[in-house]
Amino acid sequence: MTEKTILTLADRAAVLVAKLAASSIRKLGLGLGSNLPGRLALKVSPNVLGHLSGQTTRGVIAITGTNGKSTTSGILSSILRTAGFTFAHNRQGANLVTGITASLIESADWNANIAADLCLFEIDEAALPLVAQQVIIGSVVVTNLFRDQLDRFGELDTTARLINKGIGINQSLAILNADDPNVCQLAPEVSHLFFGLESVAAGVAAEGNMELAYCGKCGKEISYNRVFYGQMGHWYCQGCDFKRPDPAIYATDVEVSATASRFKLFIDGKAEECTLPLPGLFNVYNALAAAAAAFHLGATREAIRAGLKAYSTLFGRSERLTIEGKSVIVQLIKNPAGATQALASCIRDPKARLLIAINDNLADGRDISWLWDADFEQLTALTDTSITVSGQRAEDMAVRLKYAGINADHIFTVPKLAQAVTQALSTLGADETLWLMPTYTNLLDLQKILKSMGVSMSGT
Amino acid sequence: MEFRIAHLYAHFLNIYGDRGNIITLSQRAKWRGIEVKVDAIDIGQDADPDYYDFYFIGGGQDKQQIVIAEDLVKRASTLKTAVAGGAVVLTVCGGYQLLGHYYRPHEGPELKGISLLDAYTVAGNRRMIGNVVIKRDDDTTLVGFENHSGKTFLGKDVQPLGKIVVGNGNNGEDKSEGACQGTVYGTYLHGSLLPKNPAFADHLLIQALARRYGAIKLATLDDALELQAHKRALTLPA
Ligand SMILES: [Zn+2]
Repeated sequence: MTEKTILTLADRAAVLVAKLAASSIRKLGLGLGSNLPGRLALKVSPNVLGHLSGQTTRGVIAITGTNGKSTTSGILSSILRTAGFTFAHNRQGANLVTGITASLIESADWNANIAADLCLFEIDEAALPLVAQQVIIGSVVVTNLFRDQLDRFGELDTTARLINKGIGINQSLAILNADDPNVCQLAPEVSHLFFGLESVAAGVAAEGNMELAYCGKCGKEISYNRVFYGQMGHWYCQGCDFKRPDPAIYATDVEVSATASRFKLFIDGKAEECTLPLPGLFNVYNALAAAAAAFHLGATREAIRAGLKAYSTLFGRSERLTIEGKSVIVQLIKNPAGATQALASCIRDPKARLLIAINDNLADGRDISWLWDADFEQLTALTDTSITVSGQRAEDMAVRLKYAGINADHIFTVPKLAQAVTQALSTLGADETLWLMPTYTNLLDLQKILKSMGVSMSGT
Repeated sequence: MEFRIAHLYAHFLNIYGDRGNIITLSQRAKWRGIEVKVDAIDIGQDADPDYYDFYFIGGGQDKQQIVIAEDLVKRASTLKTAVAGGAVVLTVCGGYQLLGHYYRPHEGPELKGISLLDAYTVAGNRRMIGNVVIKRDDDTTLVGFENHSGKTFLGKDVQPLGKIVVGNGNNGEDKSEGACQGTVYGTYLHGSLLPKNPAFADHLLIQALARRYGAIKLATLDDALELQAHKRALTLPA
């Protein structure tokens, strides 16, 4: 339990100003994602974020990492709801300081009171130190660290340094992925809670391209007894004593299908049989991260099991929809590891058809080289499937597929997304599923396109 | 016919879609019935200078660059033998910098290069990130994406790969991009470079195969998709 912070007059004014701004933005139809309310609030009271979050009794938990932040936050929300906790959550993927401030103010009443047990913040790796300077963060979950952020920060070491700094400011508890050697080298000086994957059922193969990792202590290449996903697995260093720590929270006997996974979840030495309505080992890692965080926050094993089962997908993260009677799965892709995993789920579906939409706006990453690092070659397993490519860089995507070994006659380039969606749906067989894989800004467009067709995606 | 590729430090420098260049050369050879052999050559691993037709070195993070530089210096003489025998070397970004005489960082000692290109690189103060279009001497264009802060300057024994139309190139000052010295190439263009520049890919392929097979003519491929992507890239903002 943390002591409640006293709100200042400035905090109350900040909340008032932000709420007024937010309501006018809504009235003017300017849409989601505006930073204005958060920015105004921070102008009026620079400490408003810390003061508001300080009112909660169980404090703040932060979730960061390269991939899976939103899914992990979503699964954790589901568990916390099941466990009967009330919490504030920056739900719309607004994970920079202004966005988090705006989200938190939405959870407050006009008097700036927050009736929540805790705050759950999904935070961009680069923003973590900034948020940590304003907010006392009790624990930080790090899902994984992939080397895919060069466009933004220059190199992985920069990201690791920023996360270390963020954790160090409040000496937060670090809830870390034991299977990711890049994550395990973080924050050596604070207390840890590790989660990991112990074993998978016979026949479950490793996912993704194996990524090499280098020892955080001696720099030597990391060795593996087992690889599950990317650079995650049972690892050790041949050059020194650095090795995978024993996780306190872990899964065994993982089975995966095209839409779900089942596993035994061990917490505090006791097992629960769990079902997660999400495909892929990668999402099992997200579930483990959420379970570890929930356990730390005081949720029971039973609440964790029930919360995993009740999880329903977030905006664009493996969402199932029915459009004009046809089955559609929407899966955001934004980097090689995530895309490779999404494709692995897709090829498990023998009735899959594909629409891939690539944009190169700032929010997507302007450098689309990553298309060449993702394993599109697996799509050759779907013989004779036609693939539609769309978005600002549809032409690049078409070339990538051709060189992955897809017959050029089966690749259809339709740069305009609305047209591509209509076309793909009209030729989709009744027993087939359209796998729609957009980058971030294509996903925003898709949301609007589907809305005009009378279909709402979650998060809208 | 067989085309032999040595991908140096493939496991170490595998970002920025460097793989795309290897995939492109391999596929374009295979589509013409040429057998392809790709070997990943790691640090400390010898590569027979008589064996390979083509060498590729990509880009990496700063820390890896130091380790690579040390290894590259050790294999400088075998690489020079390979080049003297007609092998083609293509380097991108970090690999390009190490093929020059040296890389001078802001602090700390100079990283010694192997002088296969008459060029040197100094650390710059701003990161040059964005789309690039260059024009070659024969008026053809190359398109790609750059992301570097090192500034490379060319000596008199080396030709630039092209002149900057969009973007920064070697140093953001003299409008030059890349370097070409005999069969040795360096460039800041990734994106990946070769998929969207099929004629340049074929030029490298012909040059590399000439080492063992003499002057050959490659069968024409249908490059409609590649040229469409090239054309699209010509319209992108910097
Ligand atoms: Zn070590």
